[in-house]
Amino acid sequence: MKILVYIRRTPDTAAVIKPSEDRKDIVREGVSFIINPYDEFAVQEAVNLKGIKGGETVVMTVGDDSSVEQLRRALAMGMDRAVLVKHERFWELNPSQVGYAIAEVAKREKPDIVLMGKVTIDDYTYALPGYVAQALGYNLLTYVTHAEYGDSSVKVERETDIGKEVWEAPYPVVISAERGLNEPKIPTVMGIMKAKKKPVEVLEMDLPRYTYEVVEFNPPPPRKGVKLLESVDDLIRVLKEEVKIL
Amino acid sequence: MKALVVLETLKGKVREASHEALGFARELSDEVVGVLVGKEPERDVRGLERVYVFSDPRLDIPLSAPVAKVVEEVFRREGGKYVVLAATPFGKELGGRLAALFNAPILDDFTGYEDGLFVKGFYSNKVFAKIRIDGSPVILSPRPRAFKPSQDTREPEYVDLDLALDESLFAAHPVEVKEKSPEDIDVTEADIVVSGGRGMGSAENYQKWIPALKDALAKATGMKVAYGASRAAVDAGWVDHSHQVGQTGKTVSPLVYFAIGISGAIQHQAGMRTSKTIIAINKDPEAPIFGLADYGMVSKWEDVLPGLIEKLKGE
Repeated sequence: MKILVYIRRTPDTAAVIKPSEDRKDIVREGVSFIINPYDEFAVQEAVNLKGIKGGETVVMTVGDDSSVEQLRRALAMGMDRAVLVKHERFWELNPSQVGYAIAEVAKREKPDIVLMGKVTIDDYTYALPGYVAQALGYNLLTYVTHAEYGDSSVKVERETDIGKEVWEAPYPVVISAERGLNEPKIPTVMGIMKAKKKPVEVLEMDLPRYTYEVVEFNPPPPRKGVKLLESVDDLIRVLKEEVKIL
Repeated sequence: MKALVVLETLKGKVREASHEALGFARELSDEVVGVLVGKEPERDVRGLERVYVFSDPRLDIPLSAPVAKVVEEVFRREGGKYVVLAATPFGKELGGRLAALFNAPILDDFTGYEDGLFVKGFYSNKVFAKIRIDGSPVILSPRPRAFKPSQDTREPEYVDLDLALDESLFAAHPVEVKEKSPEDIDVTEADIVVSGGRGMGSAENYQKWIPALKDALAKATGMKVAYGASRAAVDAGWVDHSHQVGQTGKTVSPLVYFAIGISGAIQHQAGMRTSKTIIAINKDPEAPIFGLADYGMVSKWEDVLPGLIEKLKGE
């Protein structure tokens, strides 16, 4: 079994995010970066699966030199090797450009399974799994909370707005991870040591060009401040007279 | 400029989020063409010039691979500047497929459109981006509840599509679907969200009082009410993670958000700060949630919820 995992370098979920002075970006100094949390489930899933079925695991990202930090972490978690599709200011790319790069790497690697998170928490796109499946002609299973890998097909549990669903699909398949798929493990010291010797290949790639840009970032609209209430009667009155839901 | 709108159906009916996507498409375009796909979908949509209908018993639950193929066929016939679809879980999946199929840029899960620019929360609503996007076509996927359903009343012409879809498009398929009960409303679809956090103290407390308040509010207001949770409550196993509100959970913008025993970590704030009204109940006056709330009660939840539920029953 060969597995390709896409990850993305994103700010830590605890990071304070503010627009930069020219509003074209966010302030990046002082922000710590992590593997996109949903992509981390994808990494752990690949490592677990290799533990059961054997095979090869490849982690990739579309990113700048700093993104090697996240690739190394995935290697420390147990991935075999890494591919960096190099792009400065990768966070400004449209999801279609990122999806294109993932698909190009997948065409070369020919994995049985492509894994990634259901969403990236920086630009908040859910488009990558669908893009990659369509570009590759792979089957697609999204929002997966549990997976059982057979010899020729995979059976998963997934969660949507309809309910809890069980799906099946033959390989090759793109799987997007939802919280619950597994518990990502913190890399061991041994894992970190080994990761230093694992190969990170750097690729240059021409990406399709689109008209897509953030014209300006703004802080969220300010809230008007808290009015303290003394009693349940006060609260009921507010719900009636001010919030007007009763 | 023409817009194609994908009309997602569930049990034959066009979903509310698709009516909203249609409302948005009508803002953008003077000609709107629909793609209606499902198992015998009802032909009762309004506000479009034409609707292409594709009916297939295998599409009782929408599948993105065959639906992408149908949209491709309609696009081949009609062309169009915009391809619009609601950012439901299915729409998010299909949107990515259409972006690849049409070699087009995509914007999914945006919430606003003004002066030719789109508004979308980035970093889980910690900042809001104004975005310029263009192409032919462009894939646009508005977040459910962000736009109003179309009020346009024109009757569309219905065009039946006769397509032979390859069996391979159905290779990924559902084998079992446990539908949520109608009372189990998703936090993203609710008018009111009642969320509990670590301060609730135990699974028993959470599981007894949060649903009780949810039910009382639903009865008293007649609105759609859902229960949510902070990450702490989910990690403690008090409630399923599908109810988690926050940066690694769901982002919600209800009319009213109740935060009960939730301190308001920055990750939680990211998921609920765009709520219209926020009401916080927390015994700690220093809890960050009060920095965001419109109304606050510095109390133990035990001193508020029983009385509140009792009073709501009288409304």
